Amino acid sequence: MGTVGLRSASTAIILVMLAQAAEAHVGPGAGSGFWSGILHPITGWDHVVAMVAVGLWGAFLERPAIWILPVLFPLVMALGGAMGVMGVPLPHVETGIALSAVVLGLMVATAARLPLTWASLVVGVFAVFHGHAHGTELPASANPFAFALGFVVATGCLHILGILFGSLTRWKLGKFAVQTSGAVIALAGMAFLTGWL
Amino acid sequence: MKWRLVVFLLVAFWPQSASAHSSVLILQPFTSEPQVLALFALGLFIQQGLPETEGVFHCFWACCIAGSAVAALNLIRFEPAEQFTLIALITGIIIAAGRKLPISLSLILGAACGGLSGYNSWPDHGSTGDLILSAMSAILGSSLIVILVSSITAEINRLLELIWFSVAVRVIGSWIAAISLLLSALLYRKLV
Repeated sequence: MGTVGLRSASTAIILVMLAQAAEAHVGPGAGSGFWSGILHPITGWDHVVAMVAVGLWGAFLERPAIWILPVLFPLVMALGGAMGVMGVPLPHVETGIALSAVVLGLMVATAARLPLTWASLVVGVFAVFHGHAHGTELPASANPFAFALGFVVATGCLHILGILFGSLTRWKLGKFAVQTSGAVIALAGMAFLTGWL
Repeated sequence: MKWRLVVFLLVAFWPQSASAHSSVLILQPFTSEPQVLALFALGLFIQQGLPETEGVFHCFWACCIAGSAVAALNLIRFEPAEQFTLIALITGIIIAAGRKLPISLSLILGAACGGLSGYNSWPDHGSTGDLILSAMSAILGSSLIVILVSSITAEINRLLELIWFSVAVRVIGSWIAAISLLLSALLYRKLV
């Protein structure tokens, strides 16, 4: 990682930490505004691990997947979100989210190199579940636009975090660290799936 | 584009010294979230296709005036939030796809965004002088958003020559499309 990469990494970390500091201003039940939107994907571990896994997997798949997946994810996630806003039911949303962590974690752990179409399909299907979960909470927020803006930006930042961490794969030790993280994500997904976490 | 940015900044902040009220009117576009989203998207779209898309801004500006005239003459009455969201969604998808549109379609996009911005700039009430001043300030504000976004991003791209810059623009395009899609759903359910 060069100077630019390092700078981007520190910016991403600062952004994530800033969001954490802002948590103090958003009390329980205050589902409104930009910060609530930012916090929504960040405070749920099931969302966090899946988003980071998308970035990590993208880094393993290299170009063009490294940027196509983070471009595709918000678009399909918004489609799921729109379904949630409009009250279109989607069965087993929580199971789908937990399963996304398992599958994406396994893809990273095994360094699976699926063709781009299949990788996009896998990411797209899970993005619908994540979006639906966010979308159902949108109408309850006082400022839905700011909420939508917040959670799309937060999701993107988590992808960037995953890509930055995933860029360690160019080194042998880094590749091992990333694959281990994938295994941890898959295990966390299993824990969400079984209700242990 | 640099000289145009300087001219716009000068014109934008000139009224501040003359009247405190008139300069505030420049911020009118910021009161409509779908409009800001569409203008931001158009700015990025222009930057992405430069130098071919430079004409899109001229088209946008001309149609702003035309849109304001339509509102002034009371030819049609509607709330353009949904149309702005649709423009932001389409533009966001085009930016994310990274495809260059034929120039005719690019001009139509600029014209649609400009027409709606101009229409939305015309206030409902006031004396003729106030109405014209408000509309002109709001059009200036809208143009400023488009030109600032396109100029600043183009300048960053030119100065830093970062290889991932075009990718970053496409990612932001997908974010704009995602937010617009959610906003469309909220507008459909009349929640915004």
